[in-house]
Amino acid sequence: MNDVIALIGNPNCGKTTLFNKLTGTHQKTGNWAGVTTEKKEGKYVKDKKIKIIDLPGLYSLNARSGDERAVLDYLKKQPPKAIINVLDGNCLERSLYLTTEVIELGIPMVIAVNFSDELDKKGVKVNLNMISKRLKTPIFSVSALKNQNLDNLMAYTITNSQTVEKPPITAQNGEVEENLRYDYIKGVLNGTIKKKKNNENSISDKIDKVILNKYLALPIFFTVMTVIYFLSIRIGGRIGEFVSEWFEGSAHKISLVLEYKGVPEWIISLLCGAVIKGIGHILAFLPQILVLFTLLSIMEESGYSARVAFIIDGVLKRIGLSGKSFIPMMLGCGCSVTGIMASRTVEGENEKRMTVFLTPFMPCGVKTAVFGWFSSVFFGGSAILATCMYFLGIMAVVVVGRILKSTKRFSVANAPFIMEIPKLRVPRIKEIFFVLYEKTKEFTVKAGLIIFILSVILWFLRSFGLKGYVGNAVENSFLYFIGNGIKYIFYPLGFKDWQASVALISGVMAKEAVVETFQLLNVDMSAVFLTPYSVYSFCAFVLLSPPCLATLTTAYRELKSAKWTIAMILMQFFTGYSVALIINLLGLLKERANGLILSLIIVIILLTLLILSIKKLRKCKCVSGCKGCKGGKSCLAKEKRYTI
Amino acid sequence: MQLSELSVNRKGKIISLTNSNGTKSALKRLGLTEGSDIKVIRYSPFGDALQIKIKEFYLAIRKSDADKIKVEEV
Repeated sequence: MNDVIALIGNPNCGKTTLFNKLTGTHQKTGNWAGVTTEKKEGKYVKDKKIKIIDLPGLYSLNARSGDERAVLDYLKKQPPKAIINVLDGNCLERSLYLTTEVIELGIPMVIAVNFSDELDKKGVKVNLNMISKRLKTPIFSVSALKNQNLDNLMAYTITNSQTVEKPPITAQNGEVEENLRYDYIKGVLNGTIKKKKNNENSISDKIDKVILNKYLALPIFFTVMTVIYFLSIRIGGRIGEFVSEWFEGSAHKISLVLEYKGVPEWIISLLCGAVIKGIGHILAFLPQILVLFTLLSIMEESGYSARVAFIIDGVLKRIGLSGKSFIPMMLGCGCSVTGIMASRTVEGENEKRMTVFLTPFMPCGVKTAVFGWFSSVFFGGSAILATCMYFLGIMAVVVVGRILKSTKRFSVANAPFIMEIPKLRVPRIKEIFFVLYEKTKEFTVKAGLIIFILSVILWFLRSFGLKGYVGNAVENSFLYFIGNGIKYIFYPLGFKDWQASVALISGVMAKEAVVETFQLLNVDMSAVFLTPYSVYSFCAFVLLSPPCLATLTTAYRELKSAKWTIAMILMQFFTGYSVALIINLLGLLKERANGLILSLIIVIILLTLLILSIKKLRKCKCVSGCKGCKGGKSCLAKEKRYTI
Repeated sequence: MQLSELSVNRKGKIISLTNSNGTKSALKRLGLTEGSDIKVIRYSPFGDALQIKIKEFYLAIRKSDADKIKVEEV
């Protein structure tokens, strides 16, 4: 006998909070629709035999989009023992739409009306008994956040829940199903909701008047993003430097002790040079990433990010994205993996694909930390480099998005943008601490495994050559051969030394490895990067070139196609290479003419390639009567519209 | 009149919806059924998206979709 209880409800109705309270586990919550993008399982804290499943939030079981289909299929194939339908007490009418559909599945169910505490505060009285009688379904008024009435809800669901008599809704000739359902709901709710007074202007509405003001919205948004970025670079970066210094100091001390004791040189080099320093450099990134994630999760929890999606939909729409793409992009500033996973909430195949393609251009926490390190080496820790990279990332999104949209594959009409704007809420400190805890864990595990292994591999390649242990004679090492072999690819970008090539290659594993490589090789940075332009060029390449393996794997999972994934990697490599080249060229123009001609030739080749590839993709197919318009609204034959 | 012609902060009643690339049923499922009250709260800074109030909650939609919703002022 299965003991599965499924939670179902509208997006943002507090299902995930309820799930967390019931199972004692911590799932990420957020104040925007679509936080739960996959179903999650947990065990009920008070009875471990009961399994609880948190389904993605949805407004209806009937829509054709991926999530809704998946939920319906799941409920039909493996019907749970019972369903708890979570309703948002603040908008019962809309929430009940899904309820009428769920009842029809014929699975035992119970209704939980969430946010009872908020209703009390607002002075809204709902006659749940009456609604329960009319729906013939048991209803519990709960507050997932304040843990009110949850035990009763669960006790009843486990022992007493029953199938509910189906509501009399059958669309007959010409009647519209949606209208019938809402008419039925109107009858159910009739006379049950009593409002104390007409509180049109809640605090959330008042704040919205300012942050969504036609003229203030954009300046406020840019200020918020800049402050977030500066704080994480400034505060996080400083703490990181201390961590790194402490580890380097310890590594040095330990190596002295070991040397005194007569331990073989290569062991000291492995332990102190690779392992301890390596761990230190990785942990040095942690403070910056934590500050960034705290601020981003405050934005998410409060509901501000959903508002930003509304503010900037107008821009994103033009580059083939939707306002909803903002949330993946914003999360991408923390980590591309999280960002790409959130792209699932973007509607429209094209918009979604485009979001996956472009999200890695946003500088993730680790990339930012890499820029921070470069800045501390070359520019005395100024935040200018990282800020430049941040804007470069945004520019890349806009420009590349625009170019991609002009290609045939992406030129399809925009998918609709319909998004709920949730009430602003005060972020819960507990949730934020949880995010921090998870990130720290995730990051240290990653540091402990990938970076540790990578450090050891790098150390081996660096310290050993054909003649065995080579010690400090790097010129005989394996790494030297590898780096030398590929350095010519990056020659036009302004970093001629083999160490830079090796760093970029290790960067494919994880971006932190870029810094790690330089540290491990004891590279004299000023010898590799002769001009500030080459530093910028290198950082631009790190920012825009294909992301780390974890991101690529996630992108592949979301794109569900090897072809598209390869296209994405090529596009990113091309973008990274071209931008880095342009930066280096600007530098050459200013500094000296040496090597300029070679670089110019490469730019011309790249540009021709770009133009040719776009032209090929933009093959025009004129419909009869078309005089060669540029697509858009004026074109009559919408289905056969191609950009010319 | 079209929803986009309704001035900000005025209440309207939905008369009908025309389908524009699949939004009609999606909007109806969210409660934008014929006869429902609707209110335009504000436009986005670029003026091509609007925030509306329907059945006690806020929704953001594009102006092009709002053009397809016929309303009468109440």
